[in-house]
Amino acid sequence: MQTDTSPYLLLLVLMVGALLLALVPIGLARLWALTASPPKPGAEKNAIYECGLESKGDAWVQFRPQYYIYAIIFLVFDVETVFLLPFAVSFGGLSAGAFVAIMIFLLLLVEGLVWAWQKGVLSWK
Amino acid sequence: MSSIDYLRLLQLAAPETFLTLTGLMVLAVDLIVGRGSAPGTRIILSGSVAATGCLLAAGGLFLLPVYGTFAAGMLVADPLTVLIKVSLVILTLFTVLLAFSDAAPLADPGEYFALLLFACVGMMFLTSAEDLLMVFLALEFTSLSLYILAAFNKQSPHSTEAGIKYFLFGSISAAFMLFGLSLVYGVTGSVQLPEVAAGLARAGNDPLALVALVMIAMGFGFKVAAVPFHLWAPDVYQGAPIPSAALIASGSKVASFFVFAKVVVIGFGGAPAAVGSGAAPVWVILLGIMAAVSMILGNLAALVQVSVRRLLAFSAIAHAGYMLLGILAGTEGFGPLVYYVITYGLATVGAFGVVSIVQARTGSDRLCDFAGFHRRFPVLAFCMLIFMLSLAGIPPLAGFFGKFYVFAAAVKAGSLALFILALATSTVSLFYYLQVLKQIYVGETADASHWEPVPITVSVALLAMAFGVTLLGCFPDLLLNRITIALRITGF
Amino acid sequence: MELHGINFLLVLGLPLIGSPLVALAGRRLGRRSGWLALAFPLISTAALLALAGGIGLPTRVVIEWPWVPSLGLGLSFLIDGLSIFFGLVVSVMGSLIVFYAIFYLDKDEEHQGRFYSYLVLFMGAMLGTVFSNHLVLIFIFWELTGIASFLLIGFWHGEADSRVGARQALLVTGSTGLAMFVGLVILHQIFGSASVSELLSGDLSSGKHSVLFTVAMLLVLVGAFGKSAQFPLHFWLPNAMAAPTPVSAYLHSATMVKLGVFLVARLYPVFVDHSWWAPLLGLIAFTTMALGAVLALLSHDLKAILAFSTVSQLGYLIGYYGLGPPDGVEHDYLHILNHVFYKGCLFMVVGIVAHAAGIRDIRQLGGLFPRLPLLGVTTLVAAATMAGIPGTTGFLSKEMMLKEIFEAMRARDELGLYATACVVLTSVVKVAFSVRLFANIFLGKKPEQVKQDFHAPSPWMQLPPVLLAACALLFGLFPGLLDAPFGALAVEGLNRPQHLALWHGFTKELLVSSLVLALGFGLYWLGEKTNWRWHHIPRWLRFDVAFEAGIEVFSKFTKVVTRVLRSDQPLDYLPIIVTFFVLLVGGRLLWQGSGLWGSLALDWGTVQPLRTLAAGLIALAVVGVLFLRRWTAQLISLSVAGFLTCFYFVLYRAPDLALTQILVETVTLIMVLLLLARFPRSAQVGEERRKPVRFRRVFHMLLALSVGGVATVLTLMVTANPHPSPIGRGFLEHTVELAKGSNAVNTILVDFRGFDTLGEITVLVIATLGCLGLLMRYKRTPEEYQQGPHGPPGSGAGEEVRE
Repeated sequence: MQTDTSPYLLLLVLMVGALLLALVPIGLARLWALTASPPKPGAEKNAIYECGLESKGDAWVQFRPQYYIYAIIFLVFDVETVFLLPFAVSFGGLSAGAFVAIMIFLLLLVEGLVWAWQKGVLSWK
Repeated sequence: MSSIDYLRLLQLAAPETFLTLTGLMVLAVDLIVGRGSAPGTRIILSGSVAATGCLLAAGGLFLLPVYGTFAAGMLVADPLTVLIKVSLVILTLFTVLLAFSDAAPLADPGEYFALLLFACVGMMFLTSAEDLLMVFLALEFTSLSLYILAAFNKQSPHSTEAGIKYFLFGSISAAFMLFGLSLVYGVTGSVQLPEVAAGLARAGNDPLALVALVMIAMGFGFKVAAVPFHLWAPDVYQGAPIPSAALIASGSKVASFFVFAKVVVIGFGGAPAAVGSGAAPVWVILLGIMAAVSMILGNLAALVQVSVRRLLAFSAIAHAGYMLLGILAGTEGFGPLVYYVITYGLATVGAFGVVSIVQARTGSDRLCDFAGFHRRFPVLAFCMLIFMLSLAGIPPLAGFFGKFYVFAAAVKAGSLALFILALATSTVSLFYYLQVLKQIYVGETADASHWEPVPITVSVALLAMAFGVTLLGCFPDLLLNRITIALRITGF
Repeated sequence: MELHGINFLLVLGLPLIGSPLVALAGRRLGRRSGWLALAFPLISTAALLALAGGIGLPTRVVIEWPWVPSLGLGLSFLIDGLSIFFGLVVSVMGSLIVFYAIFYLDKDEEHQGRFYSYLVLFMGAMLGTVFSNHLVLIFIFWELTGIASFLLIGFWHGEADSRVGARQALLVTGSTGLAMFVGLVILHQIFGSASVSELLSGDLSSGKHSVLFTVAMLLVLVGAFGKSAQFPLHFWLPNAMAAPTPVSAYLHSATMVKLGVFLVARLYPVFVDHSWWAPLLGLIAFTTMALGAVLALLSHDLKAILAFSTVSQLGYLIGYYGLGPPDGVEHDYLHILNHVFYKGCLFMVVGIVAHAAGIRDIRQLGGLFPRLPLLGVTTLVAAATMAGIPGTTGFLSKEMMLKEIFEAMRARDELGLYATACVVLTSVVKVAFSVRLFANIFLGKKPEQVKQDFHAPSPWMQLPPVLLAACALLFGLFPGLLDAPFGALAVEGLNRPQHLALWHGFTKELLVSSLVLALGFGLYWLGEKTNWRWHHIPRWLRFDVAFEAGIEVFSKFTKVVTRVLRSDQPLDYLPIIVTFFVLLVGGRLLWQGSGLWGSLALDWGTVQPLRTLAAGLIALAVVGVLFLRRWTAQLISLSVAGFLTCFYFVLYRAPDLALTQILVETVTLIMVLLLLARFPRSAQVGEERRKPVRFRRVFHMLLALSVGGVATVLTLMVTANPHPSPIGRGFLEHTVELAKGSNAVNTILVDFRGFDTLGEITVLVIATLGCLGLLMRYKRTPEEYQQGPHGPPGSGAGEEVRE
């Protein structure tokens, strides 16, 4: 590859290419629309894709906080894995202290899960 | 690094581990045994587990202390930190006992008590950290628990407001502190306090070091509610559930001040001569200004408060000013500061306890609600008398010696002007403490309705605290000796 | 030593322990608790006498128990002549007063137990103060006397007078006590010892020349002046007369107000050779003396007359120490004892009269002699003592006073003259109101009202004043009796006891004394003649009114401060904190900034037109942010500045950095715009009730600019002295080898610091999502915005609706 010319030339070409790639189809579609399909809007035509259900209200609605709680509880498994894997791999060479330590750590996470479970967080109402 | 001695770690962090497990047990007990019971039963159930845990932890710490250092200052257990930890656990114990009376807002007692314990664990880690990273982590752990504790009463808009404000400004302070800590690391290349000191001394007149110190001081300023970073305190003290407020006012303050002093005295100890060119080192000026403004504003604003909890908040701000004097005095002020903070914490938790009794029965904490308290609960009124007078620093009580000891250290360190200011403002403070007592003892009230009796745990806790304050006032050496010895062993 | 210790515990410990006991027993005993309380001063007196005999005066004994060894603070007590003298005054007067109070208090008076408890507590505190050997102990007991006096003055807290009086007393004595504490602490600092006995016996010459020593002396004197009601702090004492009479007699004439005198005497050897000592004490004390006497003459209330005369006498006592020679004074005990005799007696008499007749205004009294003959004689003796008639201790005192003042006049020119003038004036006035006190109560016609209301007092009640008057007479007639005790009680460096005699021959003093008597009678005659019409205290001498007004102003001030600095609006937090930061860091930078400007100096040769243009455009964009109103417009203007910065990078031949910057800029802009779009319009317009104030905008603008300035200066300073081994060089060297890329910026972002970048992106996304979540949680309709509380909870908005 020849790098003597300005390295930004390539960048420029890339940028122009990207722009063209985005703009040319749009321009073509516009052209097509102007020539082949004169605008005749109607109720039928304005419906979404002319199929499916009519949407109601705003899409910006209140989320159930459960989503967040689910996400947080997922962390329990996530973090657990991250720490359990190396623990398991080097299990043979670990001292008793390390074992107790990781057990306490696991207990912390597990109790969190049990607590959430018992509180009914996991059942979707 | 490969061979971390976990057994050693568990040994050193045994009280923390034990309290954490107790917290888990509280949750479990509340879930399994307490399910379906009345709220009162659940409170007693989980509360007594938490209280027992605290008792055992305090006893263990006191009787079988283990000393040592882990991972180059990540976790340091020496006589001094053990002493602080014991007092933290005891303060938490009292807070737990106080929570027994605040039954109404606590829909989830198990979680509440567990959080109290977790906050205590955070403070204990904070106490034993001599590593800036660990300081930050422990501080955040404590703060997160306290944010939730402040906002725990979901039914009350005040509590929510308190939680949000505490959280917002806690995060700002955390950001400041983290920025400062990273700058310190950038300047000195270390996060361990002794090396930081050496690094700062090397760094000399580096403006970055200056900014770092200012930012760390600002971060801690938030935590201890010193002016001008006090803005959250009145609302949080007023809005949060009372045991939460009590813990924020006492335990959090003890731990924060201890580690603040440690960071300043050990960490910045090397900075002074370097940063200031001839003049006093920058952190001395900074803390001096903060102390002066805190004392003035805290005391003046407390004068006009009608809500007792707000009054306590402003008095806490003023006390933060006095405590800053202790930090200003450097190594000389370390022992005084520890003594002051512990006795202050004791009296504050007690005062909050009495407020919680009144608030549970009248629905608010205005000064006039305290009228006639003396006739209804003469013994508890006497306890309040002791707490208030101790906070005001009246001689035979612990608060006096705290003040005296700190002020003497400040004079020795040469900040005579601040000492005079502190004395003058503490005269002012006497006035508003007496306002509360005046209401309790001579306030006239038309309301003759019967008040339900106070739960036995609360009375016992309040009496114990009043006794402690009086005892430490009459025989300050009980605590002072330990502090002095611990300081000597630790090498201050 | 052991024996002394036990003895001393009886003296001091018993009252302090006994005080709460009396209060507890008071509930059951009611009126009889007085008899229980009487035991404490009696035991104290006995133990004190035993102690005095035991230690073999005149010596100095220190009794010490450890208390807080780590602070060097022990329960250390100094037993010498001075402390025993004051201790005896306190305990003997205490016995008399408690005895008197038992008959004085009404049978149906409530809370008698509490009253006696306070009284015993006060006595304990007084004894503690006079015996303390440690400066801190002095302060502790000193303030304890103040608190006990507060409780006693305010004992009838139902009455407004009592409350005002108690508050004034506490504020004045308490705050001056703190000043004294500061002084004592400084003394400790200078001499390295907090023990009074070491201060008195040690060699202090090393520290005496420092300025701090002067400061310490001034502060200690402020404490003494406050407690002993010296000008201009004298006003609290007359108002403290709202207390029950036994309290007035005990605290406000015989004991507590003498603490100032005691302190001056105690530290006399330490301070006396200071060049300010004599002028300061002399001026203030003699002014107080004259002023007090004049005010006493101008008063009509019996207790006010006595109060002002006490002020006057205290002035003399302090002034006496002020003019004393360095090797000690001669007759201080005599003057103090004399005052205790007659003033204590008169107070009790006045209490009995007021009790019997129900009136305290001297103009409405008269003709009581036939009804109260014993009391009349007592009063006659006491008034004669006050006036200094021969045959009483008052005469001795006055003779000595005149003698010494004439000596002083010779020794200290103007000051001595001033003192002499004050003393003579005071003596004349004193004779006048002494005569008036006796004559207008006991002689003359009896007014109707007195006839109606009169009821005879218990004879037991008259016993204490009679005893005191008898003492005044006895020692007045046989002054030789006092020689032995005074000699024994003398303290080295303070006293030079002299022989006392009734008759000194026809001296100058006797002449002046007779003249004074004559003039005093004349003044009284003039007063009677004019019917005391000219008697009232002029407004400009009412210091208490000014003091109350001052307190009022202070309380208003605190309200204003609190309102101005109220902190319940989160919107106000940031400016406060940022201001603090800017002031501190910026101020500090300016402070040490002499070398700063050098490093900031411009090199005009390097200016390039294109870069200047870019910089100017950036500045323009920033100005746009300041002046545009709409949020979106501000944001876009800000990002224009950002994009121009990218251009700036390009000009510095760093297009890769520029590209990265463009990407970051774009992403943040889009994110924030996304969030802004979700903000309700009202949030942008401002739904606070506060209208946008121009001042606030300007302030915020300045604040923002100064933050920028501080940051710029810091950056410049950092770049001015770069790190010796910057990490960037390492990245540059290893970028190809480790990251397989020749663009260092990119390799740092995605490879060396890849996880950092990931973390940053995550944080950004989480923050955005969090904000979105908050904004979406609850969407208010326009109607709700119109009606509902405006702003998020806690923003302080909500009481008023802004149109």
